[in-house]
Amino acid sequence: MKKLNEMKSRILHARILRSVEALPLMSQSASKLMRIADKNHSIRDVIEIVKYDPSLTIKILQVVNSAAYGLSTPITSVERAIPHLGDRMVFGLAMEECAAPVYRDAMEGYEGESGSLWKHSLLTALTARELAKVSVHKVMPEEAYTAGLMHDLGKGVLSQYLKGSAPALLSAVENDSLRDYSEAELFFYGTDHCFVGYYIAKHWDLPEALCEVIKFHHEPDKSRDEYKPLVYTVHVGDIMAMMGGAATGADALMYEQDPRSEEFFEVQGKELDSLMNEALWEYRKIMEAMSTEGPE
Amino acid sequence: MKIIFLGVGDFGATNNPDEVLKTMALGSCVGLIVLEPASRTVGMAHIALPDSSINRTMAQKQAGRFADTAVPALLNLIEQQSKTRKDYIIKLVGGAQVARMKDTFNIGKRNILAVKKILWQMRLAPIAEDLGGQISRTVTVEAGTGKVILHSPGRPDWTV
Repeated sequence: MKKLNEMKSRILHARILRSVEALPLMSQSASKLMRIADKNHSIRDVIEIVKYDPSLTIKILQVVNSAAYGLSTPITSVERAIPHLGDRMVFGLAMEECAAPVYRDAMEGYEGESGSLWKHSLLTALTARELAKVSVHKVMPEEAYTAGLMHDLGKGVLSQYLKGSAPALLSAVENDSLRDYSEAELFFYGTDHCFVGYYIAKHWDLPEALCEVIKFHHEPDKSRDEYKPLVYTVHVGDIMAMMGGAATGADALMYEQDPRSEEFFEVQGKELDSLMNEALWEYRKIMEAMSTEGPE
Repeated sequence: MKIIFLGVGDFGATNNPDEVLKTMALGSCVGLIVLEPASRTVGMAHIALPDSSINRTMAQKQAGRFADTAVPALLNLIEQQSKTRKDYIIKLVGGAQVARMKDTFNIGKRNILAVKKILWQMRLAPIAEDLGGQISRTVTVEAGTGKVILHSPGRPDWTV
């Protein structure tokens, strides 16, 4: 596969962006939840949004009553279900529901299995949340969690255009001195999953901080200073999720760590191991809880 | 062929030739594979982290999670299943990283060093290894043949 000429590359880029515009908009409740996820919020705020969304309510009740939670008496109201699940799980379920077309499809272009984007996003969210706690700056763990959940949105759309490309892209990174897999995407397709994700985030009118994370999670040093602590948190969280075995396919680990990463965290090797341990443990619990009704 | 899946922190062994052990997408985790040819027993542990001192309670629940508890636990299991302790063949895979990784974040490197250190203390050493690099590895160990097959998306399969 050779680099596309500029004209072809532009046409392909335009087609990819048109398919983003064809995506359904976020549901009102998901959009509201994403907005409060950035800020201090109470469980009451979450309940107030969810209780007017019947399909999200059903999903939440299905998960809380799944075998993984082992309840002796079923929970039948969101008022009781949400405190039981925690707001992180609710944000995740809300986003999964409205972003199902992006998250559920098999990642064929990356040769990843169905559900791999969702799993990778979840483990990134969990590690980013843990990393936020050891950030030398003020990064809100919940904001890091949400940003981790969203950072790879672009792969869901770009994947359909990358079918059959994995060996060539891998070879380009390994032999042609391209920086990483996203640079190989850009080289062959005129755009990369970071920009496509950013375009989706704009289409969904996501908060600016999330847009910045999505656009720069592989090049955190290029993000605006005010967002750098959050972008670096997700940058490292993303890498740790790939190391923890939740990657999206052929691009697994084909990235580099920004050399400034250490500046943003007050952490030694052993503490990092501990942090990874916590994230992996919670990941396993959530995956087991969602295995009955959640994305596979 | 029955597949026995081993998740993060799990370990297992079999001498049933119709079974295979499989662990998915090792990143920085290390797959410790032990073969006991006389009894045709194969075992594998999916080791996530180097040192159980970070969470002793979890190590008791899931010995395969940490290098220092996983190595003796897997060897004990092999010994029980094979009823012998003759010639262990040990193979190591995994321990990957991303490019330009700082040591603080390099769990893969710490895992490799920890597993090798424990093996060394037990007077054991791997006969083959496929470690490090920027690659995710799914590992299948066939009990019938003793073959260790690695798979990574976008690349042809290979054996160790």
